[in-house]
Amino acid sequence: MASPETGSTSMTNPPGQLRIDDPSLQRMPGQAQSTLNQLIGETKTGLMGIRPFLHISPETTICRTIELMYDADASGVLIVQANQVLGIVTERDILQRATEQYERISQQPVADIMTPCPTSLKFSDSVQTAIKQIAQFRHIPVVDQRNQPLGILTPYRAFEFVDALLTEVAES
Amino acid sequence: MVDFSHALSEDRLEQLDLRNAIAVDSHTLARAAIAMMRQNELGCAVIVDDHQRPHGIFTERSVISMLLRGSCLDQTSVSQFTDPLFICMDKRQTVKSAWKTILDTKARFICVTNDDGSLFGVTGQRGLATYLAKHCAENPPTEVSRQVNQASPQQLDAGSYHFPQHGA
Repeated sequence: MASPETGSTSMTNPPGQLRIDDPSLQRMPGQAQSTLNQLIGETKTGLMGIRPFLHISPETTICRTIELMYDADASGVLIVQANQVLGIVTERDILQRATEQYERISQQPVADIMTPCPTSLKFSDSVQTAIKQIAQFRHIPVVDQRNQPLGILTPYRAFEFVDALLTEVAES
Repeated sequence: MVDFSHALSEDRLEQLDLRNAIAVDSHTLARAAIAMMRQNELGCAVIVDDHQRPHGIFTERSVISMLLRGSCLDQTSVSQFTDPLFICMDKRQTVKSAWKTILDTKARFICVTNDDGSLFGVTGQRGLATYLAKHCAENPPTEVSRQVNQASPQQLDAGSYHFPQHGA
């Protein structure tokens, strides 16, 4: 946890998370002999690589947020309070809302520049739904039934997942 | 989805919905480049030479680096903060080559060039995400998917869930 001045910060990456190279995942496409298309339409978003993800409190300063994103090589960060997603800040938000007046606002809370109530995906949404959303939004929070954050989906993570399925289908 | 795999190998980059690139010279000040990126809602500006051939890229990641170092937007040129992930591909290369390149490098942008090496457009993760979405057809759920979707987040987090085997 960070100091009170910067708010709480955390990189969530729990042990045992399902990875794209998890052996259990690799069993699916070949043995199911289903088409990749079907799998994309049928599999849960929660199975995609949605972790690790960076999350911070809304009180975190803009300056600290940028440092954390840079250090974590993350292009987006969730703003979380009481285990609920309040908003999201991405490199695009920083470009659009912070860059030109950075010296003046760098110590302000990140909540001032976040995108509130971002479009989210449920854990149980299909990968197909996720892929359609990711064509519109580069960073999509993934939440559980209680809207608690589970991760962030990015295009790269979607590509990794689909590419693994492509490989499996090709080899089956 | 076999169609998607086939399309990846057959389609050329010039067939993608490429974004019109912001082309700047190496002396362009960061403030000017950022203003263009904001106005056009693009995440990068391509640094080109006198023949419009790309030789660097200034991205949102470059902006983050600038802010962290306290660089003045009016005294810093784009060439001082180019993104190390600078990738150019000919417009006749396949979409699959771009797909693999992005998977290998995590690059967000790819500069697409004409035969003479001049800038044709820009694509990247966003462009490929759109391409992927276009190739996702609707399908009714099957028994396999119903079983998979009964897995709880806890099972998946714990890595305890195993996909059902076909015919099992």
